[in-house]
Amino acid sequence: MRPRVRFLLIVPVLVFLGVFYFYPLASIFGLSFWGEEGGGAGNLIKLVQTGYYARVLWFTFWQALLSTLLTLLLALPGAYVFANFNFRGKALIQSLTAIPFVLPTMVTAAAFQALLGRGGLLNGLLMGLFGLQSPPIQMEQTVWFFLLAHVFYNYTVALRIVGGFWANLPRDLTSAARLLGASPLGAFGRVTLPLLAPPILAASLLVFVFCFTSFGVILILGGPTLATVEVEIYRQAVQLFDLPLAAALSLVQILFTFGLMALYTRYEGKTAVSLMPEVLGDIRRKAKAGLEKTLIWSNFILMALLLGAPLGALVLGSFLTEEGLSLAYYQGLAQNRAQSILYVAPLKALFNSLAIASIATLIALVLGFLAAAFLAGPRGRGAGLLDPLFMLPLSTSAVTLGFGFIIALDRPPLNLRSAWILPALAHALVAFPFVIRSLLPAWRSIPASLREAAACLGASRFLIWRTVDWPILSRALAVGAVFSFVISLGEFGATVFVARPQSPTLPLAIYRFLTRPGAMNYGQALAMSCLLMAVTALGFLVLDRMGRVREGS
Amino acid sequence: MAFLELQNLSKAFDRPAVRGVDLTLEEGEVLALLGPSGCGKTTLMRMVAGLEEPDSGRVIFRGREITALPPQKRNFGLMFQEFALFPHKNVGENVAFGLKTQKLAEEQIQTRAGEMLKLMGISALAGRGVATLSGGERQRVALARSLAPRPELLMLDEPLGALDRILRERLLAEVRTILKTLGMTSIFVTHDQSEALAVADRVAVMDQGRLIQADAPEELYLHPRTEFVARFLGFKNLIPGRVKADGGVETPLGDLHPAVVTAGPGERVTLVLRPEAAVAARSGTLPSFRGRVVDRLFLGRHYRVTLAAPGGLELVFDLEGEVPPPQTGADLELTLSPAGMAVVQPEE
Repeated sequence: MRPRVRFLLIVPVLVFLGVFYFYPLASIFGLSFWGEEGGGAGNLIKLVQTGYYARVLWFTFWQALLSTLLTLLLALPGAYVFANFNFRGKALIQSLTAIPFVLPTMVTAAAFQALLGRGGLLNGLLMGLFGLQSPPIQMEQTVWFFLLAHVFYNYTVALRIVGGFWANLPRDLTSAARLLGASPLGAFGRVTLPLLAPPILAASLLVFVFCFTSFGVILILGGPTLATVEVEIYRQAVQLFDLPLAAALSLVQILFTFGLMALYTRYEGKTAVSLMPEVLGDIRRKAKAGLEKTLIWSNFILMALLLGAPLGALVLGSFLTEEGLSLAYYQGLAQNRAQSILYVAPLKALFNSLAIASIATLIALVLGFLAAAFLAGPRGRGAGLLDPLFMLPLSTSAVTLGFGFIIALDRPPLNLRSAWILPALAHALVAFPFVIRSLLPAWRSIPASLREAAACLGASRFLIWRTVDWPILSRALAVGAVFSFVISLGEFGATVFVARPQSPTLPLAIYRFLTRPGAMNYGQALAMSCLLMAVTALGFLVLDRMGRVREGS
Repeated sequence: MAFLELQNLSKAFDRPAVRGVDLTLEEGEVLALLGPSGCGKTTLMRMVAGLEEPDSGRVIFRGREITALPPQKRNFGLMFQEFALFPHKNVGENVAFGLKTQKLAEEQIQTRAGEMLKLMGISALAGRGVATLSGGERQRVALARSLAPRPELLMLDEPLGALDRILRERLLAEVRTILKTLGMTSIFVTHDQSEALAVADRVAVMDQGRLIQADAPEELYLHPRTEFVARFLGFKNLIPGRVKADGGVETPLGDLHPAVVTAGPGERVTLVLRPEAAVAARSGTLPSFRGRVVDRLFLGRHYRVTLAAPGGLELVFDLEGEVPPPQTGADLELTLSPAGMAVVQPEE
């Protein structure tokens, strides 16, 4: 490809990033330093002096730390089991553990409400069994409620990162330590654990970032008194209309997430480097009776309780009406019950979501394709700088993105405030880095010799593209498309800012229904969550299958 | 009292890996465990090391049963196939690992580790990271690490398998010298027969979990017990035969008279003809046979000749100093020296 053509490829991507990422970000900076009418940095100073920043930050920090520790505590035994033993259904169980991670945050929130909420399944069961007058489990509006949800969706992150690395550690290393006089515990402490430190640290950082920027589950499960930075930005901006304060908080959020992601990238790189040049065969074995079997089974039970029970409760709750099991909540989805102008029939929200996801996917594919085409070329200074640049939207919290959109794009020169396409643009911004990550390895894997061979056989440029590149790229493109679609369907943090009130997406509709009283609202929220879960899980299973087919070939 | 005694050891994973092996080892002896991959030699060694627990049978060390003793209490050394150097420790720390678990004083640890590095000629590598080492250097570090805590028995699992051919030959001699200098009782696991013959005082051949033959290298080479052992040692000329009443062996090449016949009259046997056993027939008393030369390779010291012999046999012999040289397509009359033939058990 000629350099000039290559440069032209990247222009649309840079323009898009400039307008929809850097411009909103700059607006946040501007607003927090200079206020709405150029009032100076007074806000920032006030925040620091009153300790307001410190309080919100401190809460955000320790809930994330606690969530991370809890996740590791519960997932590390699982990682041990998955790394060291073979058992039936292992691949399937591993796939299933990933489902909580890909579920939209609103679905997770609804699932925990359905299981442990005041009117949840467990409380109903206990009240019925023991004839209690009030629900015995009072988790709502406590930290523990959303901590559990954090463990629920981060479990698989720790399991996969640590377990994957552990499985590839040569068993001879511990055997060698044993022969050199170390006890089993000594060998673990002096050999296995130090070698596992980088992946454990990488997993911790990633989980910490996810919990630090967690929004939807805290908003729903944490109640009105608990607020992390992310939730506080939303409250200040949307409920209290204090935009400079929200901007000042966003600034903090941006600095922290960038710092954490930079740290993660460093450790992730270290983890990816194979420690052993030698490759050893699969030495995982079947468990012996006794302790090992007990360990495996207790892990299964933990997974079922932690990951399975909330989802089970969600499905059950969506069918459990006051008259017993019925489809009433699902049938009600198409009806417009309320008179409120802000009320939107759930079915319409579903259509909104599908339309937005389709457009977002299209934009993400085009942008991702152009960017990957540029990056796949000869590696130079430009590519080295741009690749991390394209990943920046992933390191930015959803709420910050959404907030940036509404303060930057609601006035001239670019007024898109009530444009229906705004959510799709926000989703595309988050999704297109995934398209790049999916396309780029495929693109770089196409050997130049294949193209040269085709050219020597007399193929035209188009024919070469059609027969050599396209078959390899189309699959990666399909993976990127499914990814983008699923991300857009479930996105909540940015959408809550940018979607027009009269045309919400499905997650927004779930949020509204969950936060309103009444059995019908609650039941329909669960029903919608089930629909969203089904679509997301289906998308994920398709991806999982595609991944496996690719590994197999 | 034997130094190490294995009694009827068996171990099965999904299928039997080691089946009823009896074996003894004397102090200072270097024993090679030889066999094709999957024959159970590594499993047998791991049971000696304590890394696998036998399903049945006993391991006895200096008269004391250690079958269920955990590996860290045996004071045995093991050099792993891929060396298993600790990637998070440098060369010096790797070598010192076994000394630290013995809770020696720091000074003693440093002295001993330094000694071992010096013995292996790798003192200069002490501070280097393991990932930066070449294959040969890794091998030395691994050997230094397993010898440092003064093990009573050293096991080496395919210690040269990961290295290229030239390096392998050089290190083989070096390893044997080191083991012998230290008087180290050792078990050397390998699938390479030339390695086993060169390094060991005694070679134990295994097949499908069973111990087939354990003998000194010369004895093994001259008198392999079974057809499997003969084939595994690389012999190509194996012909069927039946022992006759007069002590000769009836074969498709005629009646042959090996120096030692280990089977009784009427028994079916396999006869191994070593490649150096044949010479061109001269008028004499020894029986001869004729074959057609199908291929001829000049190898300097000798010609390697492939013959189409009676009974549809294809035989390969190394013929020295033949004048005139054998020609492809020509007939050749050969006699076999009695010492060049060995009677082995045929395969079922």
